[in-house]
Amino acid sequence: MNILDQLIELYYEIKTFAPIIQAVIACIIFSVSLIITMFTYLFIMRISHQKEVKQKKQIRPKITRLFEEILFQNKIYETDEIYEKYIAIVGKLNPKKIKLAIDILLQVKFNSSKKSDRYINIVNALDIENYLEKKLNFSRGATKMKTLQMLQQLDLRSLDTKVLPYTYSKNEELKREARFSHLHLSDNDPYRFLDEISGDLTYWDEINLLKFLKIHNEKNQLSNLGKWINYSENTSLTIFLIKAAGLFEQQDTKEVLFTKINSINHKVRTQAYDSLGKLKASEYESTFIEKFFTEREECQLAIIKSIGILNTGNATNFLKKAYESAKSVTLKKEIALVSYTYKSNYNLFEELKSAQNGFDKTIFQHIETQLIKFK
Amino acid sequence: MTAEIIFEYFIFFYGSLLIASYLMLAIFSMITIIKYKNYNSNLDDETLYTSDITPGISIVAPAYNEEKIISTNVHSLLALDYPLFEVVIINDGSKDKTLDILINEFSLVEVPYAYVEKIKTKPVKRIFKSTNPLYEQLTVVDKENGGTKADASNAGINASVFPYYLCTDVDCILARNTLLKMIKPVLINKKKVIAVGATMRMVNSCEVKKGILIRVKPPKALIPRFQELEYIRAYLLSKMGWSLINCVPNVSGGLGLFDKEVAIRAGGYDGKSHAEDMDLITRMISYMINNKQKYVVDYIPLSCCWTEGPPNLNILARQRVRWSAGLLQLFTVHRKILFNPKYKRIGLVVFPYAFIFEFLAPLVELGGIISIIYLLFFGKINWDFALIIFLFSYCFTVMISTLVVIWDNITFKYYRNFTEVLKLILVAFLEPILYHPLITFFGIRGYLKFLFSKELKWGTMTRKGAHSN
Repeated sequence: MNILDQLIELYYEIKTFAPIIQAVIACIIFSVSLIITMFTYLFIMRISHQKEVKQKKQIRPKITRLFEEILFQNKIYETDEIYEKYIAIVGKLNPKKIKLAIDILLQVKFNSSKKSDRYINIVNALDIENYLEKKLNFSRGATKMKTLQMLQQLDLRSLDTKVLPYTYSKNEELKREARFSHLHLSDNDPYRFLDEISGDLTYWDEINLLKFLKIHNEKNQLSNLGKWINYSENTSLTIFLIKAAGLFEQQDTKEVLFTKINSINHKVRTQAYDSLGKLKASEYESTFIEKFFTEREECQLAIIKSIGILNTGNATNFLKKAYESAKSVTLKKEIALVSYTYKSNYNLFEELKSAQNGFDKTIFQHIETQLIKFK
Repeated sequence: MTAEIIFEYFIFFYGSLLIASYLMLAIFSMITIIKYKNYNSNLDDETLYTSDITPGISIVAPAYNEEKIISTNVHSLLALDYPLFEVVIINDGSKDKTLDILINEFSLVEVPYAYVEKIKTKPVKRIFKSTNPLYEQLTVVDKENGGTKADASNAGINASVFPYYLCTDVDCILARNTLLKMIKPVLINKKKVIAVGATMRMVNSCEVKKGILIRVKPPKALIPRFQELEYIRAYLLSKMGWSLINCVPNVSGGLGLFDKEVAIRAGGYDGKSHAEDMDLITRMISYMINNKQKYVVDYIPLSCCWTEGPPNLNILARQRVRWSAGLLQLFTVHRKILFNPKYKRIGLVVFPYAFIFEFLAPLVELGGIISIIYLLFFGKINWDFALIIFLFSYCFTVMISTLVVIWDNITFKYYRNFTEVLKLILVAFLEPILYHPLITFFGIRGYLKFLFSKELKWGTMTRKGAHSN
C-alpha cells in the first residue's frame, strides 16, 4: 500500500471520529503547517538580513568617508563626480542604494559637529529628491510619514508643495507630520497651520513644534508669536506659544504676555509668569509681587523663578515674606534657591538660613551644596 | 451528570477559551507591533535628545547585597543616552560591601539632602553625592533594611527629582536608548500615560563589557533559555496584545517607567506585597478610576533590559514561589476589583483574565493530573483520542512560541544569526514537557506558602555576576 492509499484510509478513518476530534485534527494540521511556514520565513528573513548586514559592513565605512570628504573637505565636488564615486562603491544605483545613502547622510549630519551647506550637492547627485517624491506619492501612510521626516532632516525645501496634500490627511499621524514639515520647509506662509491646530497638543507635538520654530529662529525668520498668543482659542497652543516666546526671547511679545497673567486658566498664567521672567520684563516685577499671595502654588513657583531671573535686587523683602508664608517644601526650596544667587544689600540667603532649624535648615544646606546638581 | 463529565466539560470550555484568548492576543499584538514599527523611527530619538524641553527621568534602582555587580551596573546606568536624567541607587541596609564599593568607586560623600518622605519607608540614614563631576547625576540613598524591594524603591522615589521615574534592578543591564524609547509613549499620548513597560531578556550568556551590552546571545543553560522564551512570549504576545485595548495587567518591577505623581498619590509600592509591581499598577489604575481621570498603561515591543535569569532549579523555584504567592496575595488584597464594573477594564477584563487563566491555571492543571490518574486507574482512557488531544495542545503551544520568535525578529534582530534563533525555537519544543510542569508545581507551592507561611524577604538571587567583566 503506497502513502497515498494510507492517507486516503486515514482520511476515512478520521471521518468516523466525533466532530470535535475531527476539528482537533484539523487544528493540528493547521498548527504544524503554520510552524513549518513560520520556520521557513524566519530562515529566509535571517539569511537575507545576514547578507545585507555583511554587505553594509563592507560598504558603509567607505560611503561615510566619501560623504564626509564631500561635506567637510576643501575640495568642492561636482554632481557627476559625486555620482561616479558613489556608484564606484555601491554598484548600480537603485532605490535600496539611495535609501542607504540617505541613512548614512543623516547619520553623518547628526554625528558631526561641523556644519556644511553641501548636503544638497549629494542630494542632487544621487537624485534623492526624486526618490523621496516617489515615496511620498506611491506608498502607505507610515512610509509617507517617515519620508516627511527625511525631508525635514535633509531640509529639502523644494519639495514643500508635495507636502501640502497630506496636511489634511485622514490619517492623524500623517496629517500632524505633514504640518510639521510644512512649518519647516515652506517659505511661503509656514505658520498657516498654527491657526488650525485643534484639541490639546501632546508633549511630542510641543517638542516638534519647538524644533521647527528654533530652526526659523536661528535663521532670524521667526515671526512674532504674539498675534497667535493673543487670538488663538486653543488654550494648549496658547500655553505652548507663551513658552516658545520666552525661550526665543521675543521681546515684542511682552505686552501680550502681560495680559495673560490675568487669564482664568492657571496654566496660562503660570507660563506667562515664567516667560516674562525669561524676557527679563522687570517693569512687571511689582505686579508679580502683588499677585503672588493670591496665586495658586504653580503660579507662585513661576513668579519666584522669574523674580530670580530678573534679579533686580528690589525683591528682598518680598522673598523673605514669601518664604515665611510658604507652606510647601517645593516652594520653600525654590525661594531658597533664588535667594542663594539673589543680588541684595545683605546676604539674604544666610539671613533666611540662620533663622531656620530642623528640616527647614536642611533645605538651605541642600541648596548650597554644589554637589547636588538637580535641586 | 457525574462529576467526571462535569469536569470534562469544564476542561473543554476552559481550554477552548484559553486557546481563543491566545489567538486574540496574537492578533492584537501583531497590530500593536506593526503600528509601533510604522510610527516610530530612530529619527525621533535625535529629536528627543536635542530638544530643550525633553522631560527629566529619575532611574530608581534598589540594591541589597549586590557587591559583585554594583559597580559595573551603576556605570552602565550612568552611561545611558538621554539629555536629562539622574540615577538614584538605594542601598537597603546591605550586609556585604555594596555601600563601601559605591563610596570608593564613585567618590561619594555624605551631603545634607532635603529628603521628603512622600511615601512612608524605613528610615533613611544618609544620602551621598559624588565629588567627581563625571558622576554628578548619581545619588546614593543609604537606608535601614526594609525587608523588601518595595520599601527601597519607595525611598528612591522620595529622593528623586524628576516627574517620571524608571524602576529597575541593579542587576539589570539596560540598552543605551532605553530612556529615549520608553518615554516616547508618554509624550505622544493625549491621555495621561501612567506607566510604560518594555521587554526583558536574559543576560546569562550575553557579552557585556563594563556594564555595556556588547552582544546578545541566547542563554547556554537550559533554564534561563526557557525563561528567555517565556519572557519574550509574555511581553510580546501578552502585554503587547493587551496594550492595544489598554488592558496591560502589569509593568515589570525589573523595568518600568512610571508617572511619579500618580505613583505617590497611589501610595507607592506596598512593602508587604510579594508582587509589588502588579500591586502598584493596580493601585495606580484604581487611583485614576476613583478620580475619574483617563489613563493609559503602554508597552513598547523593544527589548531594553537584560537580567540574570535563574541558573538552577533552586533559584527558579524561589522566584516562582514568590511570584505565585504574590498573585494570590494580589487577589486577596484587591478582591473588590474582581468582576466589579466600577473598575471598568481592570475589573472586567484584566483581573478576571488573570484570575481565570493565570491564578487558576496551576490548580486546573493539578485537577487534570488527578483526573488522568483516576481514569488510568479505572482504565477509562481512550488512548487514541488522548494522544490526539495531547498532540493538539503541544502543537498549539509550539506554534504560539514560534510566532512570538517571529514577532521578536520583526521588531529587532537581537541575535546575530539564524543558529542562535534556532536555539531559542528548539526550547519551544521542550518547554511544554520539561519546563511547564515545573512552573505549575512551583505555582501551587507558592499558593500554599502564602496560605501557611507569612515570611517575606527580598527576592534574593545568588548572583554569578558572570556577565560583569
